[in-house]
Amino acid sequence: MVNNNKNNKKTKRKQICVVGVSPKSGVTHICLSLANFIHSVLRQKVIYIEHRADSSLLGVVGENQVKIGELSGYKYKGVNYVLTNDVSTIYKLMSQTNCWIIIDMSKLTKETKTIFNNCNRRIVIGSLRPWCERDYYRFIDKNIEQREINQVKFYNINKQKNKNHFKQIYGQNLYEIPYIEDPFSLKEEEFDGLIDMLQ
Amino acid sequence: MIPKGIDDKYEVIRILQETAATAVLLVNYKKVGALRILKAIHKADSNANSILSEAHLLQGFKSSQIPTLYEVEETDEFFYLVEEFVEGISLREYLQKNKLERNQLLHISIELCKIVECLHTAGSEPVIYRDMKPEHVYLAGDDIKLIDFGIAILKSNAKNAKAMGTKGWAAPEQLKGEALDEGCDIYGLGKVIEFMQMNSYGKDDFRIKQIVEYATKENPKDRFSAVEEMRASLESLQGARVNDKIGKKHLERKIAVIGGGPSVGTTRIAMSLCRFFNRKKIDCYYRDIEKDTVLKLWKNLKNAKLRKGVLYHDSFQGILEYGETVEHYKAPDGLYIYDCGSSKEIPLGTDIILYVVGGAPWQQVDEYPAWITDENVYVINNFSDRVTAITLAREIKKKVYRYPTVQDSEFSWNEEKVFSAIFKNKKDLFIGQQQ
Repeated sequence: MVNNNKNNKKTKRKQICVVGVSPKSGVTHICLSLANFIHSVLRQKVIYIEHRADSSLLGVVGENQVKIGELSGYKYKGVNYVLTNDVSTIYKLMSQTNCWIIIDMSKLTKETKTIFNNCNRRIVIGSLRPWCERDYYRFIDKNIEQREINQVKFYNINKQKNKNHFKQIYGQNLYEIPYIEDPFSLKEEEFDGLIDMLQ
Repeated sequence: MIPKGIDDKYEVIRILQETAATAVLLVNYKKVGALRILKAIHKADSNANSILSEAHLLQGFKSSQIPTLYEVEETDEFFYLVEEFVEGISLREYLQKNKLERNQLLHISIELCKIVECLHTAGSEPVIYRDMKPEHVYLAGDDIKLIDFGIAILKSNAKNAKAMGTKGWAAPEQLKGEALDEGCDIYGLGKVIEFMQMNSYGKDDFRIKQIVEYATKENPKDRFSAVEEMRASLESLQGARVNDKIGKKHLERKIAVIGGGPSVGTTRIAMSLCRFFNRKKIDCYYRDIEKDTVLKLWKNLKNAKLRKGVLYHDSFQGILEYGETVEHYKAPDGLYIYDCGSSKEIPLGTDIILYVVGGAPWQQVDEYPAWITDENVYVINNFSDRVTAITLAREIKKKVYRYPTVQDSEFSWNEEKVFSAIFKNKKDLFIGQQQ
């Protein structure tokens, strides 16, 4: 049997944590896109965890309350949502559920860093515009250990210009964040960018 | 109990039904000498208002298939209504002595759907009939009529309706006293069609069976979404071209590939069949009802292209089943191949079935589906030798097509030969498709 498999679209079930270098980096937008892609295209079960003191998603997804294990959550367009600020709840979900988990993390702190480090796909999003560049580098220096830096995927929300500079400093690739018009109405041309993020 | 005070207008011919507080009478309307039905109920009866609500409901409809309401009156003790006497024979009585031809069955079913459609759409709000059963369907020559609207109800009142209806005919939600909608009449129609099919020459017709199956699903949400949709399915069996908004277009044809068990090569055969038609310039799409085959192909095939919900690869075209958060793409028109795996549920509107039986001893089928005898079912024996195929053909008394051994994922000439043999007499099915 001839194996023509040279396509690179395989995805293993993962726990993905996305964190922004600064507020308004588009973390929720990309997390929603990933969660909806996993459910609606890959047809797999997914839990979206919004870790934030003041939820920005409740008004959007909070109509249909459901039980997720012992926890209360919401179901919206096939994706289960847990909106919590409690780190132990996130741990519990990560250890007890066998499905995709997307964590939309507001910021990295001493507490939340352990969650971030326990995920098998860690994503950092930020801008590398000249006036934001310093924040991005500071964030990495402060939060990402040198020995773990190769396990993190770094994304730039702007057009790539200084990726070589980034690689020279950290030895890591800098990726461009895929453009997703509407996370609740994904388009086929957006699939490749999302698949890349999941791999 | 014959109500007093009607003698001056009506002469009682026969008592059709009688209780302490109600009566259904066949009467002669003296003025013109015409037979009519008079339904009376004592004012003290707790259901006294039902006769008024029946009158109210019937008044809104002008259909030759629903009894005409002549008058609603009251005496000191009774409410009564007078309606048209429907001549003819009930469906139950008819089927006690006769068997239906397939076309008769379809004719009655379609007419019944039209009546119910009228109830659901003609008035200011839908009327839920709730009492579909063979006793209430009357055959008068070529005309089909529906009688007895005693428990019919307006949809706005159906949320708090009491549990009513006849066990064995009424929808489960109706018997449980749950909120009702048009779905309970779709269920009733399904049960009546099922009853007709059992008393017909089309007993094993899988296409009628699947319509019954969809109409009588336990959960109302799984049934046809409207009677129009059910009627369109029946009309497509009748050979009529339906070109209304929801009707099946004549170019949309379905072939279901169903396995007699797991791992008998259903997916391979369904995919190859799709390639076969596309190579013949017949626009054909593969759809998988059990698994996620097309998604896997997208992930693993080199040079597979995705466009508007369709995966294109070589001569293969497969439909990806997206969830609700992906932009909606309208399914293209064409011939559809349904890979049903070993599921026994036939997709609605299937025109042809390819039934795949494995040739290995552990793949033998204990009991073949009843529809295997249908002329639109073709049996394929996969992973088998000549002797096994001949034995199978003798067992099922039907021609068996032996599927060739395939070496790789490419569509082979031997496979093409098998499909050509199966579809050589089916050219009419694909007219309009070939370019």
